[in-house]
Amino acid sequence: MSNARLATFVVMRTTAVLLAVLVLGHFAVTHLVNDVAETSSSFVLQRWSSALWLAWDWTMLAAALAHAGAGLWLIVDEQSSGTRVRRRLQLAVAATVGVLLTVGTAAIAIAGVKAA
Amino acid sequence: MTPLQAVFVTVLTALLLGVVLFTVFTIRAALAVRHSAADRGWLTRIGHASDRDVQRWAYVAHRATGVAVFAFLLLHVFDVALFSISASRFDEVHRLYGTAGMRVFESLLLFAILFHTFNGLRLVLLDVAELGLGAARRLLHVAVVLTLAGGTGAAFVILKPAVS
Repeated sequence: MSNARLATFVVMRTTAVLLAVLVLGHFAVTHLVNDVAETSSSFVLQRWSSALWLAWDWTMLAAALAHAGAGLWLIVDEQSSGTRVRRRLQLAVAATVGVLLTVGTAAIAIAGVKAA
Repeated sequence: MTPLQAVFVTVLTALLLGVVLFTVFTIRAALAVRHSAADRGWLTRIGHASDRDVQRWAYVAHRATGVAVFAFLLLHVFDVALFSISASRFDEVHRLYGTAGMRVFESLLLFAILFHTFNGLRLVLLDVAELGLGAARRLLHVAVVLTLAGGTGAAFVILKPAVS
């Protein structure tokens, strides 16, 4: 097993356990404890005034993107044919993850600064 | 429907189409391996799925649900980010989440998340402890039952406001 594949497997499993708690918790709060129609901007404003929820959401975002990035990297590594196609797809995965991390982090940071 | 809501619905539809295409691609790749390994026709194979077959379908389902959840995250990061630009823009898009159609989507999304979670924890467990193929199959059954039970229960809660 190459070092890259080994690293991918380790990232995949550690974030998996973390996400099992964070994502199911997030879904339960936004769909079961509260009805989704009630989770409007006033709900988000209230929740993001708490450092705990800001930390929860950012950790969830970072873990999900690391997990998805590693997963997509494996899919591309296994299922794409040809070195050039593989390179391009892996570049696309990295760019997508990078954009999402930037947008998500900025959104949470702005909300945190506003609430403070 | 406002222009911003139309963008949301269009992107979500395109993403769902992408997920369907990826799923078909993955199923075909799995079938190609399966057919080359099996000499008998598909009729004789019905009801005689080997352990290897079952594990392969779990693998296909894991990939498909993983890509599906990521596809939604792709859109969800942006619709939540609207909050930091303008609360009213956020609410404009967020109102869609309470519609009947989106509630059906949210329920299906939860089934995908639950299967991916329980099957994923099964895979982590199998990596940490060497339990053997029999235990792997029984744990898969547990993951499927937990997914169906949890998903059905939660779907009732999510869909109820749309029905009443």
